[in-house]
Amino acid sequence: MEDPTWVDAMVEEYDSIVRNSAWEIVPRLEGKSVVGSRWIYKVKQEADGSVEKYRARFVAQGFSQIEGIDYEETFAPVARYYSIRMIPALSAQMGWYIHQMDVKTAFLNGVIEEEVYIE
Amino acid sequence: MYWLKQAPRAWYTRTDSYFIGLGFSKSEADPNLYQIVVEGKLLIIVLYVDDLILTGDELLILSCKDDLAKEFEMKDLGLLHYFLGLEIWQCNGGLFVSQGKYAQEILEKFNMHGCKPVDTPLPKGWRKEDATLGEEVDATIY
Repeated sequence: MEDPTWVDAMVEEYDSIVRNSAWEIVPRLEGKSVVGSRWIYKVKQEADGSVEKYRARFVAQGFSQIEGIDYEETFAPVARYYSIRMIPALSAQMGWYIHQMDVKTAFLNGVIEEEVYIE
Repeated sequence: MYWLKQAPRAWYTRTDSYFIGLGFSKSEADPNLYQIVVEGKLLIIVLYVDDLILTGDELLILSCKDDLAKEFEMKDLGLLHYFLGLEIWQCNGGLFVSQGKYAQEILEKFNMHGCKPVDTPLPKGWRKEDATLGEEVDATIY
């Protein structure tokens, strides 16, 4: 992992984690389950197939978490497809423009109820 | 932290309280659809994990984008041009939609991107009895 493109992407991700106070370093505790972690690399593309961004994400290996012990409930914050289809239809009728934004580090925002240990 | 089981809910709770705090009302049919009326003007927001789609009164959209950028670390993508396989061109109050890239990706996935288009995608003289002679395929990929 010496390619400067990916090193830059990893530094950006690390800075985001620190800025969002996503974690703090603690000594390993007896009897607490610890979730593993790894880096994920992805080349994001534009609609025309050109490279938009090199993205490195530091992720938790959430598959080892057990419902009822490590977390209470899973959830996917996605809109229904007919809500999305309604937007262009309504905008065309009303003569509105449609804008888009994305959150760079959505899942570093928000407070998790449970304590989670990552290694 | 990405890929933690709690991360999506924590994010939703954060954005939901932000929008509700600003006075938005949430659709009963879709908890990711918000709307607000300010001085008779409408603003609609659709939330799709970390993507936000905004439409309605242009000035309301612009000021909402400013507010969002102050609250979250965000990237303004300007006018919507590609979302979930849907390509959108917006000009002069009109709108053109297409799924060209999505169709190309499906053709590539099934190694058919070099194929010629035909009106009826069946071989000449084909009878449905011929289908029983074919190999079994994994239907789940479709």
